[in-house]
Amino acid sequence: MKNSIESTFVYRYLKTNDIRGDIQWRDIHSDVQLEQSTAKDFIKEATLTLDPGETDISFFRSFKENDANRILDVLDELRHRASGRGFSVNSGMMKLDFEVAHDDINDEGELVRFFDNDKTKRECRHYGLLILTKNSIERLEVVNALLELSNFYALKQKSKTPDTRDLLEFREPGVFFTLARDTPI
Amino acid sequence: MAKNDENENVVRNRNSYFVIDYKEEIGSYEVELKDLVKSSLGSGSYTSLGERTLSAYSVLMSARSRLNEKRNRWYDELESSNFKPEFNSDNGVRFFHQTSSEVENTPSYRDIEALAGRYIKQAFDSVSQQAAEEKKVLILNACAQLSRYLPDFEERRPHYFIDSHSSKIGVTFQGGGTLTLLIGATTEIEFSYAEKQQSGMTRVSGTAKLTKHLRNSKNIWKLLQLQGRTD
Repeated sequence: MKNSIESTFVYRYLKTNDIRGDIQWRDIHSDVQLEQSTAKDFIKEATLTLDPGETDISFFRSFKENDANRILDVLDELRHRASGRGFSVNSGMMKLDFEVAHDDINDEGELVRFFDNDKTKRECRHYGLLILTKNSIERLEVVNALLELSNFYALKQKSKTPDTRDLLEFREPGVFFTLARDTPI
Repeated sequence: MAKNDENENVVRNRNSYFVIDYKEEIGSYEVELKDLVKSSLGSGSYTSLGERTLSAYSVLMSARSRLNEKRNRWYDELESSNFKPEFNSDNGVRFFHQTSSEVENTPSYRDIEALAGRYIKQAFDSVSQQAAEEKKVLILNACAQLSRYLPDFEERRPHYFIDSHSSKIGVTFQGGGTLTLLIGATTEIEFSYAEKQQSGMTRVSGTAKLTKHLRNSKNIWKLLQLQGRTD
């Protein structure tokens, strides 16, 4: 595993129904590229929730070199672990530097914890995020901080053969709060 | 203070940035006005500064006046018997018995109706009747409290959600930091603002009590100002 600063990024998969609205998709041909989206109000509905059985907010950590590769790596990992449910590639990804988040949010006391709870030996590893505080204002604070620190990307499949996706960054993730809403505390 | 007196005050005190003297709402307009005055000082003549200041002042007053009028009409609507957030299983949540022109002018209440309606329906499907009734009352009261601030929220780009832990309604504003307000069945508002810096993350959090008096609702701008300019 690499120990570079880059390798502290973790990613959370966003489901298709978390992402709504009119998107000005760039016309990108065959390669996966990172582009700035001009879409506004990208995520309109509060639909991020913990999956059944999850006890922490689930992120994946990949050790690939750049964002596009990392995100696709995480998607491949999710597909690998999907146990038949699969996932849509017309969806999105949240990116967070967990070391920065850990330092910035825990500067006055421990409010969040990130941990590698992966039992497998795969290189793309599962990370959990726990919000430790029960105080509602502190929880607001944590989630706002996570929103500030995260980047959000949309994925759009361009073709199935070969499997090709556009990767677009967008602003105003909006209602990420609900992701942490059902976090056990 | 009469309007004419205010204008005179502006001219007399132009060197002292009259904007600072006005402690009422308006938010970003004030910032724009300050920028305008500063740029005039940097490049224009004294006369030009006076003219531009008066012109900007008129924009500020007009915007402030429009927002104030809108608020007052909205508060009148909330005080009338037409306003009472209610739920029934067929129609979901409805805030108003009848749709007046002022209600039409503040369309974002419909987003809250839809959000609250879904939440209450889900509660009746998933928890006991008694627990669902309790959630319903909390959410409907939260709707009534939140409604007080809609004219101010509509000036920005709110994202609404329901915090299921507390059955409160949240609203997040992004751009120039992230501000989240949590509004429940009482007049208390919990707020938190976070802004990423070059190093570290500044946060400002706390509670606001804008009282049960409806006309005090406009003080919500003081919280919204935490975010500063949004564009």
